[in-house]
Amino acid sequence: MVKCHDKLILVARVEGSGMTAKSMSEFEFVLSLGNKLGEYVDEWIAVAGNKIVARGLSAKEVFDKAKEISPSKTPFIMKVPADKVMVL
Amino acid sequence: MSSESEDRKIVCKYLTYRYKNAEGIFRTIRLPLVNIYLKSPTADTETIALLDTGATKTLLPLEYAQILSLQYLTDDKGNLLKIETVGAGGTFYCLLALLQKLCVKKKTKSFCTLTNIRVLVPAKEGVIPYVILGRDYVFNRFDITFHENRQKVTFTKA
Repeated sequence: MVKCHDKLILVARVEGSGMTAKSMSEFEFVLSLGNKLGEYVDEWIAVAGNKIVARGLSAKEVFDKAKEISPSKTPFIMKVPADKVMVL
Repeated sequence: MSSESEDRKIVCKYLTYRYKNAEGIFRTIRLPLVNIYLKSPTADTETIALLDTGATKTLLPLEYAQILSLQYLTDDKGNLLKIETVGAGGTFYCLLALLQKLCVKKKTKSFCTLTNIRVLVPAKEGVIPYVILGRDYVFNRFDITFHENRQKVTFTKA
């Protein structure tokens, strides 16, 4: 299910990972996505349970949307990394 | 937050995935990114952080500092402390902020809790893509081993 709200696109997606939403942390859900995470490269995403609940180009907008959806939960947000050479 | 894990060794998987870039070429991401929890007096969030042996300090993207409304440290005259930071892309300036809490997590449990730590925040958005855990805090608490071929990283209590 995809809805458009200005620049922010909401996504509700349940993945069949074999783990229940209660037992899986948001980061474990991200790890379980595998190549599907590639659909979000260079975008900010918010994860709640086993769902990506918001995506967009603004961290604050994505954070706020996650808070709006689950006010009592600590939002998990991240920018999905693109393949870039990193050296120091 | 769950109580701190008592395990002496903690193994975390790399974040890995493939995607097709704008030119239609498949690219592979394989990074030692761990789950962290960040807290300030006004907000909290969870995200990912890169374990970076090449970074002497811990850095927080400006986007998170804004979400957490972090307070920046100033000198005696009230001027913001600016730190010249050298990366491969050149020199950029960072502000120094105080972070109330940073926890490194495995599954739902925290195994490393840092409180009232100083973090560098780039003055501009987009300079760094995620939190960078440098050698100033987490690396002092744990011996960290990268298993590049197995795409795992092991934390052993130091």
